[in-house]
Amino acid sequence: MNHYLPLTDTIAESTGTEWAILLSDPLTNEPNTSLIGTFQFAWDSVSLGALKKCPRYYNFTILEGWHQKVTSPPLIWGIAYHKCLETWHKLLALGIDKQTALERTTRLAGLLGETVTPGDTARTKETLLRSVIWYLTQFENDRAETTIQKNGAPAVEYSFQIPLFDLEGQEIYFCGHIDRLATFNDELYVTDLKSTKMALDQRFAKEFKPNQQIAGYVTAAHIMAETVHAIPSKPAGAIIDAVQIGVNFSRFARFIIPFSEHEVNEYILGFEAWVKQARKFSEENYWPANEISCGQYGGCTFRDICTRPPSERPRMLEANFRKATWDPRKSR
Amino acid sequence: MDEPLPEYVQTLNELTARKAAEWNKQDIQTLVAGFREQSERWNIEQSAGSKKRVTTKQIPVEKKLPTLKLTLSGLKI
Repeated sequence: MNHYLPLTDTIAESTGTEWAILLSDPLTNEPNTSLIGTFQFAWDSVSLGALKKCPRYYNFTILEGWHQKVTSPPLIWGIAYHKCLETWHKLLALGIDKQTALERTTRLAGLLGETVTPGDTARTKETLLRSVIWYLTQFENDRAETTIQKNGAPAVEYSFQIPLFDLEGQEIYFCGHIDRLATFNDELYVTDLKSTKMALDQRFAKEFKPNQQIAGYVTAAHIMAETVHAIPSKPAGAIIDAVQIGVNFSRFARFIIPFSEHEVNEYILGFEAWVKQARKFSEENYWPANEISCGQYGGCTFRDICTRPPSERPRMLEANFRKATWDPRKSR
Repeated sequence: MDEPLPEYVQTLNELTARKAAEWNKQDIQTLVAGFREQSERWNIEQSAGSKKRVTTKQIPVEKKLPTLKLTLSGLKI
């Protein structure tokens, strides 16, 4: 598989240990290392969100690994946008000058843009290139400064795996990848990139509180600051670094979402309750459907499957979906 | 509506459409400059409240080399 090597500005078939970025669909069908049978002991916001949405949806996507045959443009485009800006921050932290970093990030945006699946005119190679170049022009001298870790590495795509509690002798982990940790107005924030076609107004901002993903990242940063001191201080909250993408424009806005200690504590309590629930479903080997979610966000991808008798579902899944692993313990 | 540019001018749209693996350093610098120009023009339209689109087909990036068709038959040296 082709990779882009940002340090040498080259494309290579396969790489050894050097920094290389995969230029194809990141979802592959490998064993899921976060599972023991049908019980998940390492959770991230995607798997937790799937369980909360609908236990049967969780069973289909996380435990059985069924995904749409073609990865949707928003998912591929979003991962590519993250990857480009992550690369920019890493290049700068490695001492590469801004002009060179910009040129290499632009090349990467072009290469990843060519992997975006067709079907969405706002998510194309052109809109990716434009969004990355406009973003880096607007935030060239970013007031939100990337945190540098104790080992000298920038805290971008910051992966964590935290033991959160013990469930009948099994350590339960909370995992994830924080886009960036940054200092803004002398306070630490978890920053998260979001792309949308929606207007970047207060209605959009309200999506992030309450929000299980953002609350989860802030909670993780709190724990890391308090216990292993991997982070210099507890975060004051999150910065949503949003881009509105249109066919011919990209618009940016930042929203500061404060989080308090009590919200962090409440998140941990909720996390525990949901994992215990998952344990119960696993022991009973029954994953009930939550019909309230069937029609949300344009309709669940498994709607047609759920309308069929259980005996027909495996054949339909085989015919209409592909196997791909969502493993919270692996970086994308 | 897009304002058509003369045929001998390469647009940002055409340069973007070329394979990214084949872009040289000059191409990438031209792309960055082109997208920045699109941004400036779009901001002007936004400030004016015109709601006019600024597409990559409207952004000239460089002149194309002319394609010469020479007929050498009958040429005496």
